Amino acid sequence: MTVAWGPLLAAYVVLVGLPTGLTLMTWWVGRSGASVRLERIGAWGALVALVAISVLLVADLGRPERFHLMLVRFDNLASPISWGAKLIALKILLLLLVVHAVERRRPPDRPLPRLTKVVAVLLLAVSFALALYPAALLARSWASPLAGGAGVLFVLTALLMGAAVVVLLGGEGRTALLGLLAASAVALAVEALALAGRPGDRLLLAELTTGGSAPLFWGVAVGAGLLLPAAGLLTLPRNRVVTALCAVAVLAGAAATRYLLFAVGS
Amino acid sequence: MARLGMLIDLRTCIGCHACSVACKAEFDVPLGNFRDTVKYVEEGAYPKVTRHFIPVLCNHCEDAPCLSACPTGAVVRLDDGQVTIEDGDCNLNRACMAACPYDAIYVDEDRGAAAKCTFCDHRTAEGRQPACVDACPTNCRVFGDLDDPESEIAVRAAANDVTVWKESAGTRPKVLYVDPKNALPLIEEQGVQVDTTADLSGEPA
Ligand code: SF4
Ligand code: SF4
Repeated sequence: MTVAWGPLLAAYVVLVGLPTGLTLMTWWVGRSGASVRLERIGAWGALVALVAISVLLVADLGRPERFHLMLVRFDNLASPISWGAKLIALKILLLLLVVHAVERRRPPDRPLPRLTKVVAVLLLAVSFALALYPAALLARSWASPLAGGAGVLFVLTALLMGAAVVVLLGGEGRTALLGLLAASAVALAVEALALAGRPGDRLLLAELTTGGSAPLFWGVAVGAGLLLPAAGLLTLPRNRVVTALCAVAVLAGAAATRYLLFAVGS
Repeated sequence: MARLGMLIDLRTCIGCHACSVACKAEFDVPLGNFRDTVKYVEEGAYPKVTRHFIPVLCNHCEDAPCLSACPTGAVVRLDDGQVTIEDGDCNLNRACMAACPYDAIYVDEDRGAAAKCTFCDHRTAEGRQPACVDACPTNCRVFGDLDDPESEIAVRAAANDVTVWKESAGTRPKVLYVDPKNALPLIEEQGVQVDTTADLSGEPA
């Protein structure tokens, strides 16, 4: 069978967690009085990352000059890509509005105007939809049999990526990170149990846990991405270097998990 | 409105590839891509061996995953049920290819669009048969309106046990097979496209 989506789509599925998680986590960490610096970097970071990722998506098209068809065509609303493209464009627009408001306010720590807060709420809703979007997108592809039912994992890995970046930026994301690590461990275990219970899916589980994907799964997704950072954050909570290293490991682990959801079984 | 379909009787297919060649010629299908081809599948152990010939093409599914995956509306269903691709609306995001469980769609670099079997809608609009049906020397392919009880396809479908390829995919194909030797499950993991990576280039060394 021809595998229709290759490395660029894999990169998209992995990287799109970053702007999504960044938007959601900067809001979460800053909800009780945002740090101005974090708010600013969060908005700019998500915007730059999303634009860069959109370039990836366009570059993956065989006819990039016809990208606009995904935005202006509404004939097929059953198509996840149709929704995804429009949501990405909407999120870029909303981020531009937030960045504009953040840059214009004087003094810089003045609360954002009411209208911007409405935009920010919309942004959160769109970001949440985009966090789930890879699951909807890949559910239509026979080449990514694990991804369709893995909406929770896509959301959690996006949040983990966002929390890790927040921590790297010096934000107080340690508690959130620990909570998300625990939730991800549970979600992975539930997913594994579900796969083990369905005869057709046991092969996928075997590929993941004992087959060709096992080193990436156990070594990076579970070991480096969940166990090491959890141990590091719990045992040396005040050590900044350890915290930063844990955040980097979380990023690598979340990226590996997303890649495996895309690639296993194709 | 008709509900056009094809019936392929595997009892009479001789694996001559006349259909594949006719299809290639009709659409100028690029090297390495296929709208229609014939799978050769061997079964059993010496001395009880057999070889099945299984012609495959787009199934013009009633529940077509390619159609619902396409974000630009380039994949369309014509009035008589054929599923086709409008070149001008395709931006080659390949969602249809990723969705089709039969690997029936390929990227046609020359046309700059996804492409696949159309049930020869340009020919059938003129009352002619699809090229593969015309070319078949054993008449094992029958094309027509599945809803017309008088049509040859409906009569033959009613008179035989018919089955479809990858029924579990739930796509409700309109290409039906007479398959008394139960050969279709042998190509359950395969698609229309052929792995040509081991083929020699044909260029002089
Ligand atoms: S066989 Fe594939 S390309 Fe043809 S209609 Fe069905 S899903 Fe679409
Ligand atoms: S032309 Fe007819 S007999 Fe020859 S391979 Fe095709 S379907 Fe079989």
